Amino acid sequence: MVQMRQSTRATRGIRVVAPGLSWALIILVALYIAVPMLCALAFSIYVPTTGFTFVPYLESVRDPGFFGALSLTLLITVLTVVGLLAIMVPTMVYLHLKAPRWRPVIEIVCTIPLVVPSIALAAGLVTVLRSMASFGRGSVPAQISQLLQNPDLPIVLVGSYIVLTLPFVFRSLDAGLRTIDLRTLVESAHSLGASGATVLRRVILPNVKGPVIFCAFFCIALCLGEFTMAVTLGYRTLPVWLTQIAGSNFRASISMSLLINALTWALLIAMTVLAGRAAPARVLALKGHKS
Amino acid sequence: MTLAAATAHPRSATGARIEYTSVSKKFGDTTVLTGLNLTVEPGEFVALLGPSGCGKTTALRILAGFETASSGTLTVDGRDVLPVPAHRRGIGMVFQSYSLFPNLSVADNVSFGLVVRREGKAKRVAKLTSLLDLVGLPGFADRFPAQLSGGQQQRVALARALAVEPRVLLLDEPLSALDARVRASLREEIRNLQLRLGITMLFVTHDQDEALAMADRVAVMRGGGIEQIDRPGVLYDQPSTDFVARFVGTTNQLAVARGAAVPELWAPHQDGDRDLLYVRPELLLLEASERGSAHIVSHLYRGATTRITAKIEGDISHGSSEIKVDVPSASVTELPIGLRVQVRLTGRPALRMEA
Ligand SMILES: Nc1ncnc2c1ncn2[C@@H]1O[C@H](COP(=O)(O)OP(=O)(O)OP(=O)(O)O)[C@@H](O)[C@H]1O
Ligand SMILES: [Mg+2]
Repeated sequence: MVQMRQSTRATRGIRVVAPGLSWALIILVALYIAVPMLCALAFSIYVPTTGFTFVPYLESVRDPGFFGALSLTLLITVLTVVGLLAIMVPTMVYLHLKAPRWRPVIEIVCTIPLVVPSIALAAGLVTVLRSMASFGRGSVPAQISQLLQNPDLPIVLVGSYIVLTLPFVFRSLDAGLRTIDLRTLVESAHSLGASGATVLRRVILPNVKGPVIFCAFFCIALCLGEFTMAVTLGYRTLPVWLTQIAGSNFRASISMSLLINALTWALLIAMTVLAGRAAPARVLALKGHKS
Repeated sequence: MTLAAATAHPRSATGARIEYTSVSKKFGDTTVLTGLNLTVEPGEFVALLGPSGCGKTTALRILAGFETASSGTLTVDGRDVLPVPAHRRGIGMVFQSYSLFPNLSVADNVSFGLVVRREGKAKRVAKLTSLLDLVGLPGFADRFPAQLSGGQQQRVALARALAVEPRVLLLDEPLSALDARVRASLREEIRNLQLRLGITMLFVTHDQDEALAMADRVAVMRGGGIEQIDRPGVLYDQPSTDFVARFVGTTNQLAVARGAAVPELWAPHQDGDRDLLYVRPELLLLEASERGSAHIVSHLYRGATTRITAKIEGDISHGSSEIKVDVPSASVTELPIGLRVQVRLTGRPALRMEA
């Protein structure tokens, strides 16, 4: 996010596109996003026979499956974000500092989820879990398979979502770490007496706040909207529940998907604001240079 | 800048003693340090001087704990530090690239080490004030690194390193990224600070003027080892090898007949029977003479002195047929370009070797 700010400043002087055309493009994109949502909104609150109504919203929330699906989705989201950052931030730092030669390899590995359809990923996972279970009751592979698929704590889904976000998370963190003088910062902190964990918390994280927040947001958006993996692995997350009620109460399912969509947008805006605030020093610096 | 500031660092009042013994370092197949031996006395300022790639930075990084040694021992005050992780060594380091934490203000940068050590707020504030005074930046506490000039950033980096009262401070070309004027003033400040605080300092540079001006002793490195370590004056007046004689200061190489205790320039000699003199430019004298075997080619004005380049003839030349001579600028009018001159030796050559 920081880079984006700086680059917009940098390019402001050069007009690549005529102002009229760029506005036209923005309006087109806005329409493309807004029209379907507005239609859905109209559909969810206006019934031609009876007029305006909020009944579909109430019905969707009152559905017996709703709170189960919501809490499961939130649990998965929290675990995924925490797990993702706990794994990827130290890994990327290590990669940059100690094993830069492995960076291209890891980059390719992290890109795989982008080229493999998630249905293939899910099918593969199901096959593996089944074959592990087929070792028989009580055997170690079967127990692991069971543990991973715990209905209350779907580790397998959390893991899958972490994998699905890797292509974006890798690039975001990689770019973030490249913009700082990582090695010297880490070594300075060490020479001042900071241990590895302190360096990570006090020096690295604050300086890659933007990318980290972006990763967290991206991950949340994915967890709130992912359908294929969840349904294939047999979990009733919000999107899965939505499609299930769509059969019986279509209007309610549309209203709920609108709510989720609004939540995602709200998160996006919040994250953008936060990420902007994450770099007060640099924003100040830009002002400082101007004066 | 006051005595109070100095007494604020009681532990550093005496620096630590550093001893490298046969320290070697290999990166894969390339040997970067070839059994380095170096002792730095408590409170001493030693400069590591050498051409690019000779291993200066590597030697420093091994002491700081950022690089492992392939073999050898390294002690600080008699204690083996090689097994100790970097953050427990208590050795400060200042980098060429300033390396301030960009997200922290000057105050937070300087206090970083104290916060990590869980020092109380009162102590941190007192320390901050005295350190910013010490490096000449009072009133800069609330700025961010990007709002400071290079010289100011390096001062903050210095204050930050000093805040934790290290007994050893390592500086890796801290002045190389600064312009000449700032470099000259910071050079003096760092030296004064070191004298006042009594910290042991190891300073890497490839600028010989810097090394000679600042250090108690200068270690000239070459190809992963120390070629000579001595006080600046000794290094300049009595280099022990061809490499040192040519690397430190300007040197004229003159071939003379072997044997004579007082070498006579242009005395007849044969190829296998020559000594090589290494003579500093200020120890040669030019006198106008019709029968002289040199003539003046160019002048280079350098303030108080002017460096004259003269072309020499005969088998006195070794490699280059030009010599450089420093003369007081006032006397340059008597030595115009094209003038035929005689060259005389006015002092002891820095080095005399069999050719
Ligand atoms: N991590 C590394 N891996 C492989 N080779 C390295 C590594 N670090 C340094 N070297 C090599 O070791 C040699 C010495 O490097 P070093 O940085 O110590 O030189 P230096 O004397 O500080 O040079 P300079 O004056 O250019 O900074 C160089 O040839 C360099 O290429
Ligand atoms: Mg170096």
